[in-house]
Amino acid sequence: MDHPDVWSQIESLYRAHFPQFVRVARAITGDRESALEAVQEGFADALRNATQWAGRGPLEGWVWRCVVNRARKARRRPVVELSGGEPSSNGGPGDSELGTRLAALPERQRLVVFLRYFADLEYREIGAALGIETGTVSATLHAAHTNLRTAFEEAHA
Amino acid sequence: MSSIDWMPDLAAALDELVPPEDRSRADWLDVVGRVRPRRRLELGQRRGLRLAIVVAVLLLLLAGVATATYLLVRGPVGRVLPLVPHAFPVLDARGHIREIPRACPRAQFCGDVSGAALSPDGKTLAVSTIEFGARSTFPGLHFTDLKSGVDWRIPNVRWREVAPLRTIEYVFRDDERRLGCAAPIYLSWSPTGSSLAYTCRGQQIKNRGIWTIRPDGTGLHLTPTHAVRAFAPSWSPDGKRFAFASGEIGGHSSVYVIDRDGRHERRLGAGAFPDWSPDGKTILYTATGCGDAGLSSWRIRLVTPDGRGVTPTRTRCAGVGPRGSEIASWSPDGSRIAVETTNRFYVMNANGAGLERLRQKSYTSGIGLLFGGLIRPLWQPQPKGIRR
Repeated sequence: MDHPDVWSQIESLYRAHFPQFVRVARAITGDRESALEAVQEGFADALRNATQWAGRGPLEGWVWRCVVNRARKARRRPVVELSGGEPSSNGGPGDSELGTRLAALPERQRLVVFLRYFADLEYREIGAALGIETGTVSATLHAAHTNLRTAFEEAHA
Repeated sequence: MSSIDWMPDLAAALDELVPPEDRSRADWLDVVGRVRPRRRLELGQRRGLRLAIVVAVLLLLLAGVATATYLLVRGPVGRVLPLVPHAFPVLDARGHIREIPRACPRAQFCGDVSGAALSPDGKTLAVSTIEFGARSTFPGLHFTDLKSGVDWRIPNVRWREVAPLRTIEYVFRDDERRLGCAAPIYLSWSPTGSSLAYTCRGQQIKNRGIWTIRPDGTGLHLTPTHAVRAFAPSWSPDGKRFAFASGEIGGHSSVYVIDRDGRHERRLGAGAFPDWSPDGKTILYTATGCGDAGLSSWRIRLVTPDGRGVTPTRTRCAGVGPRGSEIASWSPDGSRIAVETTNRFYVMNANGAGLERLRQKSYTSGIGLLFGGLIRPLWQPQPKGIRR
């Protein structure tokens, strides 16, 4: 695959999924400006190192890895500070409580959840983004679900 | 509760944690702009790397040329040095030969060298020349300060070219007898370098013995010997005695030791060209007394100053070193011996083991005997602090 083709594919990813990239990056960095900077630098890294990708694995997963790495470097404060906010409009067991649980998840579980539900990535792409096996993605996501459901059930007990 | 019951809550929680983004902040040109400066930097880095490689190659080439030049000048083992009249080959501490230039008014008139010796500090080369044939060669002592190139002669002379043959005529400016004779041969520096010992070619009764003189031409002194035709003196390290040979150069001769004041003369054995070791314990000489066997049977013999053999000798002609050894000398530290044969140099350990043949030709290529001017192999004095 020629470099211009890779560049155009990366550009397409940027234009199509920019909000998702920013949200995931923000979930890592903790603030919006850092997340925006991480996305821009992550994509710049992807363009700069396009020759290294050489068709190994899904391109989208590789670009996600670039952005996630940049976001991790830019992280200045723990992501748990994201938690909080007003109770949801439907009252009930409290989405803010679930948000607190989300923020308290181990980093890998939290990242997998974000990549799965924000970025809408397939397991294979999540694995490429985080540098882990697809089976590990499945297990991690299952563990995250279990933790969150347990918290939800305890809240309704 | 089934798993799907709480999924909407999860999505809501995610939205609460990180609010949805709009696309207004997307700026692809900004991304591309971040790439280009880095690419230019990488290009610059590649150029720098190329420049560094070129510089490294040039430095390597320069180092190679410098090394080759150094080896060429120093004269490593294996370089054949012809005997050139205006330069003297000198063995350094490793047995390598390098040239020492000697000032000559005309190169062709410096050829009749009858003796040469390097001062203990390596700074002054003394050369004796003899008058041979027409009066075109300066007879006397010729000193050269190897650092400054300044040279002077005893006796002091000037020379002039005689047209139309353009030969040189020497005009003596002081008493040409101030050396005690007209043709000094076989030079040996005193251990301190303050005096030079020599013998005279064609000795008469009145000048029979070992002469010493300071490099400035003063202090002429004769150590008389009972042995006739003394030649090849060698100072003892304490400067109080000489080893020397007496008899027919290249024929029947004996080796003696004698005090500087002429007392306690003692014969050590049949041979010639003695050289006293730097530690004073051993004298080497060329064992020449092997009857009709001739020069090819000559070997180097090691004895103590009182005449006892250092190396075990089963026969009268046994010894160390190569067959055909003509003249030998100790290295400045006394650990090695350089030996000259008719056309080769050898270096060996002080006990005669480890004989190593050097590839360069000898100084004299056999003509030394004809002119009575064999020269002990010249060792370059070791710099202080260097020990083999």
